[in-house]
Amino acid sequence: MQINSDNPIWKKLILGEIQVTLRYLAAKIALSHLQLKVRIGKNGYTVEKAALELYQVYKIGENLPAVKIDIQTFLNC
Amino acid sequence: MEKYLKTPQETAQLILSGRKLLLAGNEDLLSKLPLGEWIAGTSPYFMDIDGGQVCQDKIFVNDITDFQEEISIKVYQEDTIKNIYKDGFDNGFTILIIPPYSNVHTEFAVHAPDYEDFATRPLMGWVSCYSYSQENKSGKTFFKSGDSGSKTNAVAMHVKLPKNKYAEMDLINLYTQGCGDEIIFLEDGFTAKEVLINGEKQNFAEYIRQKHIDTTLPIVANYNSAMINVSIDSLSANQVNLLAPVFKDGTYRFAKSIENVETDFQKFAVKNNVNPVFASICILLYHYAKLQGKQCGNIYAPITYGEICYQLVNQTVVTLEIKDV
Repeated sequence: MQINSDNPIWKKLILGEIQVTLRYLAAKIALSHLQLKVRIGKNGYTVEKAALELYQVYKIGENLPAVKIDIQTFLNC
Repeated sequence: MEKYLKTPQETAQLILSGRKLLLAGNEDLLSKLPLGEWIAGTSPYFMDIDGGQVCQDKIFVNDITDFQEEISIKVYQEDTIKNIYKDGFDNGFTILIIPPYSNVHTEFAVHAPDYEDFATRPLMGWVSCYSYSQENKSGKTFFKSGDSGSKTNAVAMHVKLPKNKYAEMDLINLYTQGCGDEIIFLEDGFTAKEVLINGEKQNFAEYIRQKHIDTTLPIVANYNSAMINVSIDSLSANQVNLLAPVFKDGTYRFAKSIENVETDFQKFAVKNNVNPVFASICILLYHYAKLQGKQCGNIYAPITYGEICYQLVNQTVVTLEIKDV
């Protein structure tokens, strides 16, 4: 994938520091749960852990058209 | 176009010829099916090419043989459902059928977002169903044979696709968040007593009664522009019972009112223009949008007591399309 797991974009997405319209349904749902977990500290969730999980959602789906569109959006941020 | 509802004899022939099937139907019919590569759940409601209907003498058949490369059928219970995502194939999808009011139903509904690899692979499915008029609410699941009927087992078919295909799920939702009060729940789960309404603690059942809120409208959470519904099941004296879980500290609002659910839903289904190989339609839409005898675009599916779109959702249509890479 064009964006590595340690790219700051993942943390920014979790923290809501960048606002983008996502196309990948799985990511919309996963991101919302991850943002909530970090906000309330559920199960000791950290931004780093949530960012890595969001990256994994995109990594496993990297060949899907919606994922490619989202990745391009992130690259343009 | 061939009908999806088939006689038990036609279904048995497909099973015996080695077809890989996702089935829905009456418990008595499913319990007589032969050994083979299939999973099923009970439901008397269907959307076939001749419209929405109640059918007790046929079985709804989704045959996935022609686009799968490999399948794996697994049974899950309360302590193993957490593996549902990581058991899936990387390029593929999983269909999950859950019996209603079972421990595995509650466990999945409340904790799916905490499972390892959540949302990394397409997971769709439905909650097995019973007739609305049936007093004994006993939806069942089946896997591989007619004698496997269970009120406690969730059953899944993990499907691997060839490299030149991919699965795309969609959530067709007529409802959007209204601009009314902000509702924040204080606990995860299927029931709610005290909630925060615009930051003020209030009994949710009392709030709904005082405001005369139309409880055919779901409460809606905005998941980064994916609208996720939770339907109201019933109100008791001081508690609201829900058909999917709400999540603590998530922000919800009642859905924007729809003038005519019946006509709007028809237009909406056609506009979405999907051609799914598998779908599930919420029983509440069947009733509220009066789908008996009516079409739902190109969507043919069991009508169910809750849909799975990565997590449990309500009052939507979940679709899965197989596309070329």
